[in-house]
Amino acid sequence: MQKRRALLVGIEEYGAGFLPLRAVRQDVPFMGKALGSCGYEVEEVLDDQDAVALGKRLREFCEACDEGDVHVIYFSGHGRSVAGKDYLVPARANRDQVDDKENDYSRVKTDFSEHVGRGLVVFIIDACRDGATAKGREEFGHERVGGPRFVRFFGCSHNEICQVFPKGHNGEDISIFSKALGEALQSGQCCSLNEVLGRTTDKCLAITKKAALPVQKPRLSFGEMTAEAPEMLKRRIFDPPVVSPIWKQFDSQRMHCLLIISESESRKKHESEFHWMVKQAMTGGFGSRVWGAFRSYANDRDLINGKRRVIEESPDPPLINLATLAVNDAFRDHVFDDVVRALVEADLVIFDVTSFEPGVLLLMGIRSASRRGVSLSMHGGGWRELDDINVPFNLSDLSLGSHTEPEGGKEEDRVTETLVQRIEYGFRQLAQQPRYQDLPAYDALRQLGPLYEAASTIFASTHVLALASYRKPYKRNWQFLTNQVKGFLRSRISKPEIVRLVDLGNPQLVSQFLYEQIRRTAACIVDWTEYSPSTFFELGVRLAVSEWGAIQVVDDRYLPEGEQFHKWEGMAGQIENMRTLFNPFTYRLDGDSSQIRAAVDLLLDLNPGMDQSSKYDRVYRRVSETIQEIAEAYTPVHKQLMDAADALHNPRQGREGAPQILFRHSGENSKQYAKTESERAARELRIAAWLYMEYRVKAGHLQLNDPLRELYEQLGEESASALFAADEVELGQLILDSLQEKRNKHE
Amino acid sequence: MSNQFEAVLRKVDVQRTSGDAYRKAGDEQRALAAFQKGEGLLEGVLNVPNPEDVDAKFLAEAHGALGGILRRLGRRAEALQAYRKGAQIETERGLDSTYNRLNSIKYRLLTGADTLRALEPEIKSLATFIENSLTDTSKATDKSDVRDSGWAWADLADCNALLGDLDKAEKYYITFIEKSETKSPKTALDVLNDLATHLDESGDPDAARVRAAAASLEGRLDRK
Repeated sequence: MQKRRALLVGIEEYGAGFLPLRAVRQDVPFMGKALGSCGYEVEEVLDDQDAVALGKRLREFCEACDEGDVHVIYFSGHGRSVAGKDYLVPARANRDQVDDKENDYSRVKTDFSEHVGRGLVVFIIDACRDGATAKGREEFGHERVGGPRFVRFFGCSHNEICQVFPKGHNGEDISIFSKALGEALQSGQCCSLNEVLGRTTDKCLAITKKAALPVQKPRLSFGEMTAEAPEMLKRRIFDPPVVSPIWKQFDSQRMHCLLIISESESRKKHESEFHWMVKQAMTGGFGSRVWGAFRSYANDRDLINGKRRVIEESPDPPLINLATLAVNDAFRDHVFDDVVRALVEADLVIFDVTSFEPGVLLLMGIRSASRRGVSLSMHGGGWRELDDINVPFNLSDLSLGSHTEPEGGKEEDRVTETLVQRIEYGFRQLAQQPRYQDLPAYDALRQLGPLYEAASTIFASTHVLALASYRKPYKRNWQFLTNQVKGFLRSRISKPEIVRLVDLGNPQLVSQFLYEQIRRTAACIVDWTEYSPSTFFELGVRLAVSEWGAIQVVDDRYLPEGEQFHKWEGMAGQIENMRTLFNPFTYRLDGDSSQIRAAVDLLLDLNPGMDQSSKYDRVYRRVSETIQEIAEAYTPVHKQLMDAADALHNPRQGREGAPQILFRHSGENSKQYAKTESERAARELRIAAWLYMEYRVKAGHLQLNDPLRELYEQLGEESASALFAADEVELGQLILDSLQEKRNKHE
Repeated sequence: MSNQFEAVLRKVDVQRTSGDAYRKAGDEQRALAAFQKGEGLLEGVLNVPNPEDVDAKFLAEAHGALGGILRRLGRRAEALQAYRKGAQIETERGLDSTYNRLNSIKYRLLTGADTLRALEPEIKSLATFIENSLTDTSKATDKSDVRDSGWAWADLADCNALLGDLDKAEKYYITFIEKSETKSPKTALDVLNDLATHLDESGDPDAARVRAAAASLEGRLDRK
């Protein structure tokens, strides 16, 4: 399997003799995003490395480039030519030290041609910054080194410098070459070095013209022109980018819908039938129904950022943002953060769960943990409701719908109609049922009980939680993994334990206990082996709710190049992209265990409070950031108390009787304690709610037509009435007097 | 308009319950004051220029509430008038509720306007209407259904009590007790006892079965 990796180095601060480069702050993320979108696994080097450390890192990166691989190094910073050779200037280096011809420990060479393995290394250098002192006979970028396996891509030509485009990127400075190159890569129009050079040059010229700056023309440098060079220049090394289809920003007045298509469905046709069906459901008459149901839930909802969602009654067309994504693309580095954001923001997510693909299940896990919205699980692939199906055990009570393609005619409408009904029902239930759930984890993760210990962290010294397959073929893996992990843990923990849920011997429902453990345990190992859908769902939940992340491992026989992979061939795209994104540690049964040791070391070294630039909490951080803007505010205390009271004993019950009182049949000679207690508890809750409105909200001082004031009156009267009915005359009268006193003041 | 009615009905409910509580505590003066306040609130809202604009359910309920307040004030003839108006709305506007219809029957007995025997066809007809409502599934919606109403069961029990079918009456009283608020059966019992007493005093030959029904309900409540 060919690997495409990119290593980004940006250095902003320097020592004496060099100007700081503020544009670097924009250059690095912009190029990271561009390279990520073209299929590169992107890694950043911390900018505090000295020349020796940085040189070593670059050398190792070149050495790791194997046959068929393409490695890209990107550098934005200062460069110097010393004694005819081109060097990079490391962080905080002084000019005198860098220019010292006798001592090259303070600079980093740019020629790594001798270290390149059998692949291709492209070294992008945006570094010829100050012409006044760098130009002349010893001009940067003049040195001719490299060949068909090592190419340097300079940001300017002879007698030019790499310039900055003032306020050229979201109002911030950015280097012209980096901006032009990033845009060229993201244009989807160029896949080879030759094409990229051409388009980047055009863009550089356009920018310099617009900014009235001197001309700047990038160039490639690869030593002598050999017979292999033209092939190298024409080779397709950049994929057309997958552009994130996710809305740019959450708009509280719109409905946001995310559709995740399975890999099997996305491979079938250019536009899948399911995608078409969902689009149908969002437009025309169907769209109006969906909008109406959405409005019944979302309108007037207060958000924690202080805003209130105001949903128009019947806009034409409905204001629906629909983003559709194939699951493989969701795990591309430059798209993934957007996808996590969308999973939290979306009012409606529709998962195509055909074949219960691991990537889809992981995304479902993130959704399940982070948002109480409407999530539909739709299965295709020929399956129809009532057909037999093996549902992952974590999702056994999921309400699966079918999106199997209709055979035409009226049935086509029927399947769309069923989809729309599910959406409508979901939103309407969400509106009236405070604990609505269509995925399993949300409440179990949050309702741990009031005790401090109930939500405390379970550290590795207690146990390490393992999430893995329970299937028979995995048994040997489990034995091997536990032995290995325990062995490595033993060096740092006196009584190491690695447990799966079954090992903890808790009689609680799996759904209650599992998610509590997933939230609370600090050390968690997730084994991809066997690609168990349940395990991937749990992984998604874990990544969303734990800042400790998950250490991911996999038996290398189950990777795309492994001998066991054939069963999952149809899911290779998502697995490959997840592998690039999460980089699981690999192991082989009874083989080399060095990676397991590394995984255990990392597991024990995790410290989310201290670790900087950590990747393991990426999903958790993204979910946290997103929630700040979209989470619903806690229901005001008086409303919570009222709702609880109404659910126990509705005020309409006195006049109209009671629908569905549980266990009203109390028997011939037994007392009606249950009903009496419900009425009593409801009365106390209403009194508490009224007192809160009286003293905290001070609702009695509001205008008579203020909705809060009206609620205050209603609550007071209902409380007083209940008190009188219970012969508590004094308190009932107190409330009535207080209501009257407030009314008198207004008159 | 309907919202206004609902708000007034809530305020009347407070006055009625407070009046009941003060009366029970022996403070008749405050009890009367509360009932009178309730009456004033209802008179104000029932004198609307266009009652047809009001949701029939609330309008009938307001008349019924006025009847209840007037009963507590000891003004049976006026209570009967209120129930009659409510009964007319229930009939003309096709409501499932039979509260006013049944009470207008009871108050015709209480005021001596009719005898139990003379009213039997009307009671039978009302009982049949309630039974049909409680068995007809075609009108049921997921929002409301008469079978969820405790008072429908109370009304059916009362009809059967007045008709002398004590087995049925007891069965329906049980359902009523189980479905209603804990305080509701006590109110129903008060009316039934009033009625039995009046029929006894007026020498109605069928007074005994009403007394038996009241005893049955009371016994059931005591057991509870």
